[in-house]
Amino acid sequence: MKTEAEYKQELLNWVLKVSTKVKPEELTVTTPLIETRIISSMQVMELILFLEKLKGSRLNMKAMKPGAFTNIDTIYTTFLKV
Amino acid sequence: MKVSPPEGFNWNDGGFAVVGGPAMRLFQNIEKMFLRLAEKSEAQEFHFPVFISAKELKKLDYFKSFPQLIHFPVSLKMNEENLTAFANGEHMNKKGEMNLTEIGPICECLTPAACYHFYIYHQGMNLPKTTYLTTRAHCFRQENFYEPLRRQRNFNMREIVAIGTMDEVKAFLNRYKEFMTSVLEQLKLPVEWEIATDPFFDPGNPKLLMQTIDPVKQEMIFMKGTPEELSIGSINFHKDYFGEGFNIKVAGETAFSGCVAFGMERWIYALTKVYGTDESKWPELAKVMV
Repeated sequence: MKTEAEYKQELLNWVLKVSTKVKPEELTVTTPLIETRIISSMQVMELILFLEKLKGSRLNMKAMKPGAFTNIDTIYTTFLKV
Repeated sequence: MKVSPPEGFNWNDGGFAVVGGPAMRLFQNIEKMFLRLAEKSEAQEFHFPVFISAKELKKLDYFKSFPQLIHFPVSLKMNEENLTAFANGEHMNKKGEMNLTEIGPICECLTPAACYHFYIYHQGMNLPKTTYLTTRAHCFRQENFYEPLRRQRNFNMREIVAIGTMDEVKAFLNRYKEFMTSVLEQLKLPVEWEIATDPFFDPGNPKLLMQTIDPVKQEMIFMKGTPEELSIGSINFHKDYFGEGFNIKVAGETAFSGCVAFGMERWIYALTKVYGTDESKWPELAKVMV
Protein backbone atom coordinates (compact mmCIF):
# COMPACT_ATOMS: atom_id res chain seq x y z
CA MET A 1 0.00 0.00 0.00
CA LYS A 2 1.23 3.48 -0.87
CA THR A 3 2.03 6.16 1.69
CA GLU A 4 0.17 9.46 1.87
CA ALA A 5 3.07 11.23 0.16
CA GLU A 6 3.11 8.67 -2.64
CA TYR A 7 -0.63 8.95 -3.23
CA LYS A 8 -0.40 12.73 -3.36
CA GLN A 9 2.53 12.61 -5.76
CA GLU A 10 0.57 10.27 -8.04
CA LEU A 11 -2.31 12.76 -7.99
CA LEU A 12 -0.01 15.71 -8.70
CA ASN A 13 1.45 13.82 -11.66
CA TRP A 14 -2.02 12.92 -12.94
CA VAL A 15 -3.22 16.55 -12.81
CA LEU A 16 -0.13 17.76 -14.66
CA LYS A 17 -0.63 15.05 -17.27
CA VAL A 18 -4.29 15.79 -18.05
CA SER A 19 -4.51 19.55 -17.52
CA THR A 20 -2.93 22.25 -19.60
CA LYS A 21 -4.11 24.94 -17.21
CA VAL A 22 -1.44 24.69 -14.57
CA LYS A 23 2.34 24.71 -14.59
CA PRO A 24 4.29 22.21 -12.45
CA GLU A 25 5.76 24.99 -10.31
CA GLU A 26 2.25 26.37 -9.58
CA LEU A 27 0.61 23.11 -8.54
CA THR A 28 0.57 22.09 -4.88
CA VAL A 29 -1.66 19.79 -2.85
CA THR A 30 -3.77 22.81 -1.83
CA THR A 31 -4.20 24.37 -5.30
CA PRO A 32 -7.96 24.68 -6.02
CA LEU A 33 -8.65 22.26 -8.89
CA ILE A 34 -12.35 22.73 -9.56
CA GLU A 35 -12.89 26.39 -8.76
CA THR A 36 -10.29 27.46 -11.28
CA ARG A 37 -11.26 24.69 -13.70
CA ILE A 38 -7.79 23.16 -13.73
CA ILE A 39 -9.89 19.99 -13.85
CA SER A 40 -12.94 20.09 -16.14
CA SER A 41 -16.19 18.18 -15.63
CA MET A 42 -15.10 15.54 -18.14
CA GLN A 43 -11.76 15.19 -16.37
CA VAL A 44 -13.51 14.61 -13.04
CA MET A 45 -14.87 11.38 -14.52
CA GLU A 46 -11.35 10.39 -15.57
CA LEU A 47 -10.11 11.30 -12.10
CA ILE A 48 -12.69 9.01 -10.50
CA LEU A 49 -11.46 6.14 -12.66
CA PHE A 50 -7.85 7.00 -11.78
CA LEU A 51 -8.69 7.07 -8.05
CA GLU A 52 -10.41 3.69 -8.29
CA LYS A 53 -7.30 2.31 -9.97
CA LEU A 54 -5.06 3.80 -7.27
CA LYS A 55 -7.27 2.51 -4.48
CA GLY A 56 -7.96 -0.83 -6.09
CA SER A 57 -11.68 -0.61 -5.37
CA ARG A 58 -14.81 1.42 -6.26
CA LEU A 59 -15.21 4.86 -4.70
CA ASN A 60 -18.02 5.55 -2.29
CA MET A 61 -20.48 7.61 -4.38
CA LYS A 62 -21.99 9.04 -1.19
CA ALA A 63 -18.68 10.83 -0.67
CA MET A 64 -19.19 12.83 -3.89
CA LYS A 65 -20.15 15.96 -2.05
CA PRO A 66 -19.14 19.61 -2.16
CA GLY A 67 -15.55 19.91 -1.05
CA ALA A 68 -14.48 16.37 -1.96
CA PHE A 69 -12.57 17.44 -5.06
CA THR A 70 -11.44 20.87 -3.92
CA ASN A 71 -7.72 20.02 -4.07
CA ILE A 72 -5.35 17.08 -3.81
CA ASP A 73 -5.44 17.20 -0.01
CA THR A 74 -9.25 16.87 0.09
CA ILE A 75 -9.24 14.17 -2.58
CA TYR A 76 -6.73 12.16 -0.56
CA THR A 77 -8.65 12.65 2.70
CA THR A 78 -12.04 11.82 1.16
CA PHE A 79 -11.17 8.85 -0.99
CA LEU A 80 -7.75 7.38 -0.21
CA LYS A 81 -7.00 7.89 3.48
CA VAL A 82 -7.53 4.71 5.45
CA MET B 1 -54.46 25.35 -10.91
CA LYS B 2 -52.79 26.26 -7.61
CA VAL B 3 -53.67 29.95 -7.81
CA SER B 4 -56.20 31.96 -9.76
CA PRO B 5 -54.19 34.07 -12.17
CA PRO B 6 -54.82 37.81 -12.11
CA GLU B 7 -57.30 39.38 -14.48
CA GLY B 8 -55.84 39.76 -17.96
CA PHE B 9 -53.88 36.49 -17.88
CA ASN B 10 -55.24 34.13 -20.54
CA TRP B 11 -53.86 30.61 -20.56
CA ASN B 12 -53.47 28.31 -23.55
CA ASP B 13 -53.12 24.61 -22.74
CA GLY B 14 -50.22 24.47 -25.16
CA GLY B 15 -48.20 25.94 -22.30
CA PHE B 16 -48.27 29.66 -23.03
CA ALA B 17 -50.32 32.72 -22.14
CA VAL B 18 -51.52 36.11 -23.29
CA VAL B 19 -50.96 38.79 -20.68
CA GLY B 20 -52.97 42.02 -20.54
CA GLY B 21 -54.87 44.26 -18.13
CA PRO B 22 -53.91 44.06 -14.43
CA ALA B 23 -51.69 41.03 -15.06
CA MET B 24 -49.71 43.08 -17.58
CA ARG B 25 -49.38 45.98 -15.13
CA LEU B 26 -47.99 43.58 -12.53
CA PHE B 27 -45.62 42.11 -15.14
CA GLN B 28 -44.41 45.61 -16.03
CA ASN B 29 -43.91 46.59 -12.40
CA ILE B 30 -41.91 43.44 -11.72
CA GLU B 31 -39.87 44.24 -14.84
CA LYS B 32 -39.19 47.80 -13.64
CA MET B 33 -38.02 46.51 -10.28
CA PHE B 34 -35.58 44.11 -11.96
CA LEU B 35 -34.35 46.90 -14.23
CA ARG B 36 -33.61 49.00 -11.15
CA LEU B 37 -31.63 46.04 -9.82
CA ALA B 38 -29.74 45.84 -13.11
CA GLU B 39 -28.98 49.58 -12.94
CA LYS B 40 -27.12 48.99 -9.70
CA SER B 41 -24.39 47.42 -11.81
CA GLU B 42 -24.94 49.86 -14.68
CA ALA B 43 -25.85 46.82 -16.74
CA GLN B 44 -26.25 47.48 -20.45
CA GLU B 45 -29.60 46.29 -21.74
CA PHE B 46 -29.93 44.12 -24.86
CA HIS B 47 -32.84 42.77 -26.83
CA PHE B 48 -32.32 39.43 -28.55
CA PRO B 49 -34.38 37.47 -31.08
CA VAL B 50 -36.18 34.32 -30.00
CA PHE B 51 -33.98 32.34 -32.39
CA ILE B 52 -30.58 31.16 -31.29
CA SER B 53 -28.02 29.46 -33.50
CA ALA B 54 -28.01 25.67 -33.09
CA LYS B 55 -24.34 25.64 -34.05
CA GLU B 56 -23.57 27.88 -31.06
CA LEU B 57 -25.71 25.86 -28.64
CA LYS B 58 -23.85 22.75 -29.76
CA LYS B 59 -20.64 24.31 -28.44
CA LEU B 60 -22.24 24.19 -24.98
CA ASP B 61 -23.07 20.51 -25.38
CA TYR B 62 -26.67 21.63 -24.94
CA PHE B 63 -28.21 18.89 -27.07
CA LYS B 64 -26.57 16.18 -25.00
CA SER B 65 -27.30 17.85 -21.68
CA PHE B 66 -30.91 18.97 -22.20
CA PRO B 67 -32.48 17.20 -25.22
CA GLN B 68 -35.81 17.05 -23.40
CA LEU B 69 -36.14 20.83 -23.21
CA ILE B 70 -35.24 21.97 -26.70
CA HIS B 71 -37.57 23.59 -29.24
CA PHE B 72 -36.88 24.17 -32.93
CA PRO B 73 -38.46 26.64 -35.34
CA VAL B 74 -39.67 24.64 -38.33
CA SER B 75 -40.65 25.76 -41.81
CA LEU B 76 -41.57 23.94 -44.98
CA LYS B 77 -38.94 23.18 -47.56
CA MET B 78 -39.11 25.94 -50.15
CA ASN B 79 -39.99 24.22 -53.38
CA GLU B 80 -43.23 24.54 -55.27
CA GLU B 81 -44.10 20.87 -55.23
CA ASN B 82 -43.66 20.61 -51.47
CA LEU B 83 -45.52 23.85 -50.73
CA THR B 84 -48.37 22.86 -53.06
CA ALA B 85 -48.62 19.45 -51.40
CA PHE B 86 -48.90 21.13 -48.01
CA ALA B 87 -51.33 23.83 -49.16
CA ASN B 88 -53.64 21.27 -50.75
CA GLY B 89 -53.33 18.62 -48.04
CA GLU B 90 -55.02 18.04 -44.70
CA HIS B 91 -53.20 20.67 -42.67
CA MET B 92 -54.10 19.30 -39.29
CA ASN B 93 -55.50 16.22 -37.57
CA LYS B 94 -58.37 16.23 -35.12
CA LYS B 95 -56.05 16.76 -32.18
CA GLY B 96 -54.82 20.02 -33.69
CA GLU B 97 -51.46 18.54 -34.68
CA MET B 98 -50.00 19.78 -37.95
CA ASN B 99 -49.49 17.41 -40.88
CA LEU B 100 -46.32 18.75 -42.39
CA THR B 101 -44.84 17.87 -45.73
CA GLU B 102 -41.07 18.05 -46.20
CA ILE B 103 -39.45 20.47 -43.79
CA GLY B 104 -36.52 22.75 -44.50
CA PRO B 105 -33.13 22.62 -42.79
CA ILE B 106 -33.19 23.46 -39.10
CA CYS B 107 -30.24 25.60 -38.07
CA GLU B 108 -31.76 27.45 -35.13
CA CYS B 109 -33.42 26.68 -31.83
CA LEU B 110 -35.82 28.73 -29.76
CA THR B 111 -34.04 30.41 -26.87
CA PRO B 112 -33.85 28.07 -23.85
CA ALA B 113 -32.18 30.58 -21.48
CA ALA B 114 -31.71 34.32 -21.79
CA CYS B 115 -28.02 34.63 -20.95
CA TYR B 116 -26.74 32.27 -23.69
CA HIS B 117 -27.19 35.14 -26.15
CA PHE B 118 -24.59 37.21 -24.31
CA TYR B 119 -21.85 34.60 -24.58
CA ILE B 120 -22.52 34.11 -28.26
CA TYR B 121 -22.60 37.89 -28.80
CA HIS B 122 -19.26 38.37 -27.00
CA GLN B 123 -17.63 35.40 -28.71
CA GLY B 124 -13.97 36.02 -29.57
CA MET B 125 -13.92 39.40 -27.81
CA ASN B 126 -11.27 40.65 -25.43
CA LEU B 127 -13.18 42.89 -23.04
CA PRO B 128 -11.15 45.62 -21.34
CA LYS B 129 -12.89 45.05 -17.98
CA THR B 130 -15.73 43.19 -16.29
CA THR B 131 -18.94 43.89 -18.16
CA TYR B 132 -22.48 43.91 -16.77
CA LEU B 133 -25.44 43.15 -19.00
CA THR B 134 -29.16 42.53 -18.81
CA THR B 135 -31.91 41.24 -21.04
CA ARG B 136 -35.38 39.77 -20.88
CA ALA B 137 -35.95 36.93 -23.31
CA HIS B 138 -38.84 34.77 -24.34
CA CYS B 139 -37.65 31.28 -23.43
CA PHE B 140 -38.98 27.93 -24.53
CA ARG B 141 -38.72 24.59 -22.74
CA GLN B 142 -40.58 21.35 -23.29
CA GLU B 143 -41.82 19.83 -20.03
CA ASN B 144 -43.91 16.80 -19.11
CA PHE B 145 -46.77 19.07 -18.10
CA TYR B 146 -47.54 22.76 -18.04
CA GLU B 147 -49.18 24.94 -15.41
CA PRO B 148 -50.14 28.60 -15.76
CA LEU B 149 -47.49 30.93 -14.34
CA ARG B 150 -45.63 28.03 -12.68
CA ARG B 151 -44.38 25.87 -15.52
CA GLN B 152 -44.85 27.35 -18.96
CA ARG B 153 -43.56 26.16 -22.28
CA ASN B 154 -43.03 29.77 -23.31
CA PHE B 155 -42.04 32.10 -20.50
CA ASN B 156 -40.08 35.29 -19.87
CA MET B 157 -36.71 35.23 -18.20
CA ARG B 158 -34.96 38.40 -16.99
CA GLU B 159 -31.27 38.02 -16.39
CA ILE B 160 -28.52 40.25 -15.07
CA VAL B 161 -25.14 38.95 -16.18
CA ALA B 162 -21.49 39.65 -15.38
CA ILE B 163 -18.67 38.64 -17.70
CA GLY B 164 -15.27 39.39 -16.23
CA THR B 165 -12.60 38.38 -13.78
CA MET B 166 -13.30 35.58 -11.31
CA ASP B 167 -13.15 37.89 -8.30
CA GLU B 168 -15.43 40.53 -9.80
CA VAL B 169 -17.99 37.97 -11.00
CA LYS B 170 -18.05 36.35 -7.55
CA ALA B 171 -18.44 39.77 -5.91
CA PHE B 172 -21.31 40.55 -8.32
CA LEU B 173 -23.12 37.34 -7.38
CA ASN B 174 -22.62 37.93 -3.65
CA ARG B 175 -23.89 41.50 -4.04
CA TYR B 176 -27.03 40.33 -5.86
CA LYS B 177 -27.72 37.66 -3.28
CA GLU B 178 -27.77 40.43 -0.68
CA PHE B 179 -29.98 42.65 -2.88
CA MET B 180 -32.43 39.83 -3.49
CA THR B 181 -32.54 38.81 0.17
CA SER B 182 -33.53 42.39 0.99
CA VAL B 183 -36.11 42.60 -1.83
CA LEU B 184 -37.72 39.32 -0.78
CA GLU B 185 -37.89 40.47 2.85
CA GLN B 186 -39.46 43.81 1.91
CA LEU B 187 -42.05 42.01 -0.21
CA LYS B 188 -42.66 39.48 2.58
CA LEU B 189 -42.32 36.63 0.12
CA PRO B 190 -41.59 33.34 1.92
CA VAL B 191 -38.45 32.35 0.05
CA GLU B 192 -35.50 30.18 1.06
CA TRP B 193 -32.19 29.92 -0.75
CA GLU B 194 -31.33 26.42 -1.84
CA ILE B 195 -28.38 24.87 -3.63
CA ALA B 196 -29.58 23.27 -6.85
CA THR B 197 -28.46 21.57 -10.03
CA ASP B 198 -29.62 21.99 -13.60
CA PRO B 199 -32.13 19.47 -15.03
CA PHE B 200 -29.66 17.28 -16.93
CA PHE B 201 -31.27 14.59 -19.06
CA ASP B 202 -28.67 11.96 -18.18
CA PRO B 203 -28.06 11.49 -14.44
CA GLY B 204 -24.62 10.18 -15.38
CA ASN B 205 -23.70 13.43 -17.16
CA PRO B 206 -20.30 14.57 -15.81
CA LYS B 207 -21.57 18.13 -15.67
CA LEU B 208 -24.23 17.03 -13.18
CA LEU B 209 -21.57 15.33 -11.04
CA MET B 210 -19.54 18.52 -11.29
CA GLN B 211 -22.49 20.63 -10.09
CA THR B 212 -22.97 18.18 -7.21
CA ILE B 213 -19.39 18.31 -6.00
CA ASP B 214 -18.97 22.01 -6.69
CA PRO B 215 -22.35 23.78 -6.38
CA VAL B 216 -22.71 26.74 -8.68
CA LYS B 217 -26.45 27.37 -8.58
CA GLN B 218 -28.52 28.82 -5.75
CA GLU B 219 -32.26 29.00 -6.21
CA MET B 220 -34.86 31.22 -4.56
CA ILE B 221 -37.46 28.68 -3.45
CA PHE B 222 -40.91 30.15 -2.81
CA MET B 223 -43.03 28.41 -0.13
CA LYS B 224 -40.54 25.61 0.32
CA GLY B 225 -41.93 22.33 1.53
CA THR B 226 -45.51 23.08 0.49
CA PRO B 227 -47.45 22.05 -2.64
CA GLU B 228 -46.91 25.62 -3.85
CA GLU B 229 -43.11 25.26 -3.76
CA LEU B 230 -41.55 26.98 -6.74
CA SER B 231 -38.18 28.32 -7.81
CA ILE B 232 -38.68 31.97 -8.74
CA GLY B 233 -35.09 32.82 -9.51
CA SER B 234 -31.50 31.70 -9.27
CA ILE B 235 -27.95 32.90 -8.91
CA ASN B 236 -25.45 31.02 -11.06
CA PHE B 237 -21.66 31.00 -11.20
CA HIS B 238 -20.47 29.55 -14.52
CA LYS B 239 -16.77 29.82 -13.74
CA ASP B 240 -14.93 30.12 -17.08
CA TYR B 241 -17.20 27.63 -18.85
CA PHE B 242 -18.66 30.15 -21.29
CA GLY B 243 -15.46 32.18 -21.46
CA GLU B 244 -13.59 29.12 -22.61
CA GLY B 245 -16.37 27.77 -24.84
CA PHE B 246 -16.76 31.06 -26.68
CA ASN B 247 -13.19 32.35 -26.37
CA ILE B 248 -14.19 35.44 -24.39
CA LYS B 249 -11.36 37.19 -22.62
CA VAL B 250 -11.14 39.99 -20.10
CA ALA B 251 -7.88 41.93 -20.20
CA GLY B 252 -6.32 39.01 -22.03
CA GLU B 253 -7.41 36.29 -19.58
CA THR B 254 -10.24 33.79 -20.11
CA ALA B 255 -13.45 35.38 -18.82
CA PHE B 256 -15.52 34.08 -15.93
CA SER B 257 -19.25 34.69 -15.87
CA GLY B 258 -22.26 34.56 -13.63
CA CYS B 259 -25.91 35.50 -13.80
CA VAL B 260 -28.95 36.29 -11.73
CA ALA B 261 -32.10 34.94 -13.39
CA PHE B 262 -35.77 35.54 -12.70
CA GLY B 263 -38.81 33.77 -14.10
CA MET B 264 -41.19 36.67 -14.69
CA GLU B 265 -44.39 34.62 -14.70
CA ARG B 266 -43.29 32.83 -11.54
CA TRP B 267 -42.95 36.19 -9.81
CA ILE B 268 -46.54 36.98 -10.82
CA TYR B 269 -47.48 33.62 -9.27
CA ALA B 270 -45.62 34.30 -6.03
CA LEU B 271 -46.98 37.83 -5.62
CA THR B 272 -50.59 36.85 -6.36
CA LYS B 273 -50.29 33.82 -4.10
CA VAL B 274 -49.30 36.08 -1.20
CA TYR B 275 -51.34 39.20 -2.01
CA GLY B 276 -54.27 37.82 -4.01
CA THR B 277 -55.54 38.78 -7.44
CA ASP B 278 -57.07 42.11 -6.42
CA GLU B 279 -54.79 44.73 -7.96
CA SER B 280 -55.45 47.22 -5.16
CA LYS B 281 -53.81 44.82 -2.67
CA TRP B 282 -50.61 44.32 -4.60
CA PRO B 283 -47.43 45.80 -3.11
CA GLU B 284 -46.00 48.94 -4.65
CA LEU B 285 -42.96 47.45 -6.32
CA ALA B 286 -41.69 50.91 -7.24
CA LYS B 287 -41.17 51.56 -3.52
CA VAL B 288 -39.08 48.47 -2.94
CA MET B 289 -35.55 49.54 -2.06
CA VAL B 290 -33.02 47.82 -4.25
